[in-house]
Amino acid sequence: MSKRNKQDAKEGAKKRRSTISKRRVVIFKSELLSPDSEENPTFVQIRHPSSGNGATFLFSGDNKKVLEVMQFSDSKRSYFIDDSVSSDGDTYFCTPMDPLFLALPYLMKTKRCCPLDQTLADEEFPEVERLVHCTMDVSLIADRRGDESLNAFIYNEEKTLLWLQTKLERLIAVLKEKNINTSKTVAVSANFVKTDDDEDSGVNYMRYAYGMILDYIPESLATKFAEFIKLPPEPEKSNKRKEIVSPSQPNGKKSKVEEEEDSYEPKTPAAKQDKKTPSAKEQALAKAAKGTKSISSFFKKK
Amino acid sequence: MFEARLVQSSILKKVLDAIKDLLNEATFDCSDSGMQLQAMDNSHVSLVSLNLRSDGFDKYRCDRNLSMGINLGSMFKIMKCAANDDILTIKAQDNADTVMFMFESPNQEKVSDYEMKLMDIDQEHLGIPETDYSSIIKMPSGEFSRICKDLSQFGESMVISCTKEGVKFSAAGDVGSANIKLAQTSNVDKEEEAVIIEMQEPVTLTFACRYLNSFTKATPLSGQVILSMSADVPLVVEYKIGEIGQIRYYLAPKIEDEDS
Repeated sequence: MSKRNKQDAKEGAKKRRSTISKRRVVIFKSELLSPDSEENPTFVQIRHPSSGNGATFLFSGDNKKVLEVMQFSDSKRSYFIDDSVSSDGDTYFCTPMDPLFLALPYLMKTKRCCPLDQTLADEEFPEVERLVHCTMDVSLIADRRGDESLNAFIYNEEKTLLWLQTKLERLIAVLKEKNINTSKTVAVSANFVKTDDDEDSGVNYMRYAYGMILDYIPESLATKFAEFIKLPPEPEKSNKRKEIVSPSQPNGKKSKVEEEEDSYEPKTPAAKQDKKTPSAKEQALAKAAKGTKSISSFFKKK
Repeated sequence: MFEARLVQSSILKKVLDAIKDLLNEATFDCSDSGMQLQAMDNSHVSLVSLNLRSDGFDKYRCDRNLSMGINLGSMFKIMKCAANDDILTIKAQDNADTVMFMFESPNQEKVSDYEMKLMDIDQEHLGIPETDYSSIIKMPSGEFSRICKDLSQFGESMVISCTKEGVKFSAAGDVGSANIKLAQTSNVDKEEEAVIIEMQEPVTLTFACRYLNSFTKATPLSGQVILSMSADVPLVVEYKIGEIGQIRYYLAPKIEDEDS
């Protein structure tokens, strides 16, 4: 395996790794590699906390840091690497992530108190044991039991939710600082002036940040977390437009939505009745009714 | 709490028999004044309006207005479990999803309870306007039943025509045609056995035989049937239910063919 480093002023280090068979372009910050370590950083397959399926993560040489690997695919792209061409045009971005997220599903799964090296074990993905050496404070999401040397923990949901909330708050702060548009509509007109006193923006930021965290936590935890942070429920699809238009003409829009709902409701029971196949008697009666006016044309509904 | 006691449970059995052909399910609206039921058949050409007055029951209590959505087929099954001389008590809690039918034998030796689940039924109450009908025919219910049965063999629809001379029921079809004329009874001894015609204007209307035949299922309830007709409005077929109330069937007339 040959490896060449080339400093890139803008994006930190651009690292090109080439294997005998295939070379890939990977981008990450050089300082994230522990320079003291003699070991090379390694790509490993471990269970992704959200999906539960295998995903590739980059562990630093000393196993202290974990980097998430994001793949950007482009079939139409190839790279020139020195004097040769790499037909694989995919770019891999590696960004540091909190190893606690990776450890969380294992701690959740282990109901009883267990030493960390036993908790972080997976037959399917044996590399998960590297997490034991990662720099992380497991006591943020679990209670330490017994002697410190034992390194035994039991999962604590309350702590986890608090920890996630801190993450959420930090995320919101960053989103606000970077002025990232979190409103439902991605497209924003050029003359759109963002006001800070927008009521919804706080909720939008929260929902956006929650969505980001959602990618890293198990599904079972997601709903609990939403309840914990009191995330207002997502507005209905039909209300989406209302949400955008409402400041200008709240009444007009609202009534329309209500009308729609009203007209939909009675349809469901009627549809249910239709499912029943009418008996021969009913069919005969229905046949006899042909050519007769509807009784409701004479008697008006009350 | 709703509670209604009827010594003659057979009345309710007959009522159900009279409506279950037309309606699969219906809502009984119970109020202080009694029990009402109004429902259209599936094809929406006929309407059943049942009224059982509270004073007709032997005991009646209704604290709050109550709507009981009932599968009439199921209720009829339960009613069939009662002997003809059984005493019936209907009970329901205010917000219950079940209704209880209790049958007691006259000597109190046998008591049977039947609990039935209620249903959610979309209610569509129609307002029936007060109408002065141009022709009102009172006749023995058995006679009317017989006429409907006989004429339905000849055609799908029946013409009822009321004139000064009397009332004429006629049907025509592949086999041929049939006409039944009834004249007003001259000397009225018993009202139930007489044909009485109160006519302001002559009327001729066409109706579906099958529906009329369904209405005659109420014949056991009363010896007399009252037919009320006016041009271009539904026919009313009314049967008294003892001293307790009445059942009215409304049937929209057939659309007249342009050719005929």
